[in-house]
Amino acid sequence: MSTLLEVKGLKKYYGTRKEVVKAVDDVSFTVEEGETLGIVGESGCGKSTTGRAILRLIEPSEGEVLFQGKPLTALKNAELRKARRDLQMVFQDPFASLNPRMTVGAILEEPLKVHGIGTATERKEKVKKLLETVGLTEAHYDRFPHEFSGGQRQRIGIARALITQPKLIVADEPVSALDVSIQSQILNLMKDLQEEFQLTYLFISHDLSVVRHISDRVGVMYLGRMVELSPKKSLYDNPLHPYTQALLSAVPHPTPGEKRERIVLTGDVPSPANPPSGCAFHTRCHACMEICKTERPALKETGDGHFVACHLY
Amino acid sequence: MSTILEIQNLKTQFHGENRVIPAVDGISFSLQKGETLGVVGESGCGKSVTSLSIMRLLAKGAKIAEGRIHFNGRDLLSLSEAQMRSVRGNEIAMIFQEPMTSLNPVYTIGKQLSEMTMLHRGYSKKQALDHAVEMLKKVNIPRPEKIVHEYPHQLSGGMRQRVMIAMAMSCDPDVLIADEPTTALDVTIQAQILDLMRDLRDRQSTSILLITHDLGVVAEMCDRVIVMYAGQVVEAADVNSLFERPAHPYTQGLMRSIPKVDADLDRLESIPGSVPLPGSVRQGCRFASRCEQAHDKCLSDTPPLFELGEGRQSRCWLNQESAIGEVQHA
Repeated sequence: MSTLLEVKGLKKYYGTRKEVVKAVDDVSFTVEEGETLGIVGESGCGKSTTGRAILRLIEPSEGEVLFQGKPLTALKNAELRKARRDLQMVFQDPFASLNPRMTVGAILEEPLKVHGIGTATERKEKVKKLLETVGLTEAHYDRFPHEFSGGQRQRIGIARALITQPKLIVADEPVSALDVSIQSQILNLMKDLQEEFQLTYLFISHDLSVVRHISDRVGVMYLGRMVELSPKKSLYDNPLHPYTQALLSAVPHPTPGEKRERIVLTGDVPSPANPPSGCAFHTRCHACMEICKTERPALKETGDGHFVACHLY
Repeated sequence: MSTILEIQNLKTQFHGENRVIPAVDGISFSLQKGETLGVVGESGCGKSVTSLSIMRLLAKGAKIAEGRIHFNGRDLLSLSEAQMRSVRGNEIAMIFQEPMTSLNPVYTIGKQLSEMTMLHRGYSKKQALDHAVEMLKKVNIPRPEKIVHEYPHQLSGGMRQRVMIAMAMSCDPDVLIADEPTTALDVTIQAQILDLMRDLRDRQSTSILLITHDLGVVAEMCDRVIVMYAGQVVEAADVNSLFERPAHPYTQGLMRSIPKVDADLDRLESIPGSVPLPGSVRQGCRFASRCEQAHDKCLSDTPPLFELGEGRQSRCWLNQESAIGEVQHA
């Protein structure tokens, strides 16, 4: 496997007159070809901003994003548009992310037109074939988004991302708006498509169970920082960061009567406009030491590709 | 245990321009004193409409066409609007999903918390505010004396939901209806809120009707569960039986669709297709088109809700042989 995407020291700061909000604060990671890297965290942890900054849908404040070794962050607009053929996105809300006045056919053909791929007939053929691939039918070609259910719309969103035959898909909460029975259909579809087209996914979600299911490796974010990054088995079986431990123990299991030790975090996530000094988690951490209050821990490897940013290790 | 709330053959309909949509189509269940009853189902199954029907808070265009709602010996549907007002918030309280939109942004937390006790208990402003501070303390809000003077936008999502719970519990209701109370919250905050609800339930022996789509939350909180599909109850059981041996194919499918946080599955099972529009299935079982185990009878004959013993019910022809009877009015 070779590295498809490399993110180095990515930062996104939003400045207001009074304060600076550090939405993403020095995040680095790589995504290998053909793998799924899951990113989990709670609201406001910067996971979506990270996904968007990688595709430069939001301009990063600092840092470098390398795609197949080439810096995306240095590209001019026209070059960037060309590069996006290989980098696509699936959004959370399948109601808001499809133009209600365009037919499904037109929605799916647009990326092909933008990139000047194929003739009109070829494009139509391609779209119809892809509709079948994502579990819809040719007959849906002339329909409008409002005629579809949430799950079907998400299939259209996935088809739109796939139509340019990208290498990397950033999926931001792609199943969060769906009911469980539909959610599993979409997750299965994404897995099948990955196999069929050798796709690489950056899968962003707040749902730890979903991320476990789809990912090979998982990164955990807290207040704009990556606090742990590891192959999924070792992350879920042996979480190292106290935040990851608390997060995992908070997930309700569908097993009645099960007795588990739960680490209940007190208080709320601090504001990213005024993050705590040192380790951002120290204000809620049960294992907080003096050093945690002053010194920001670096993301270090503890073995077997398991990285953690915590002074305990 | 005594029954505190009993719903009989409730039918709630939405009146569209040229058709009637049966959102809740003849459901019956009861809630015992001190019990937590889960209502599970996917979008559009009628679970929220059921709770709004109980509170008689339905939007314009929706009407309760049939049924009875017995609460403490009265039929809520026969009460006048004034009588109903003295029940709402006082004897039956409700928590909604979205704590931002269910608090009034232009009033302080203290004022909103005082409204209930001033109205239902005749407290003075001073008494009501003291009581509000007391309630905020109970839901573990730090600095309650200061928070009562703040506005909703100054609080985080978890804090707002605590305020909602404080408000709902402030008149010490017999029944608390919680409609997706933690769905908008992050997991660590969800864990705090569920702990709090359990704690309040145990201290004040409130009965809780917990509406949720999250089976994890159900397993943790509920004593009994009803599963709804397309406006009907398809299964009812105690929480252990439901998770150990779900009787209805829909419940079985739901259980198998959830990814697990503590195990790796290669592939999830899923239920094909999507939920039919309310009122679109006129004949046979409403789940038949998505059911792997469907046979001819399922397409032609509408299954009744079979009584399976030990308080279990299932609306599936496959359960007919083991059934000991049929539920009336359902």
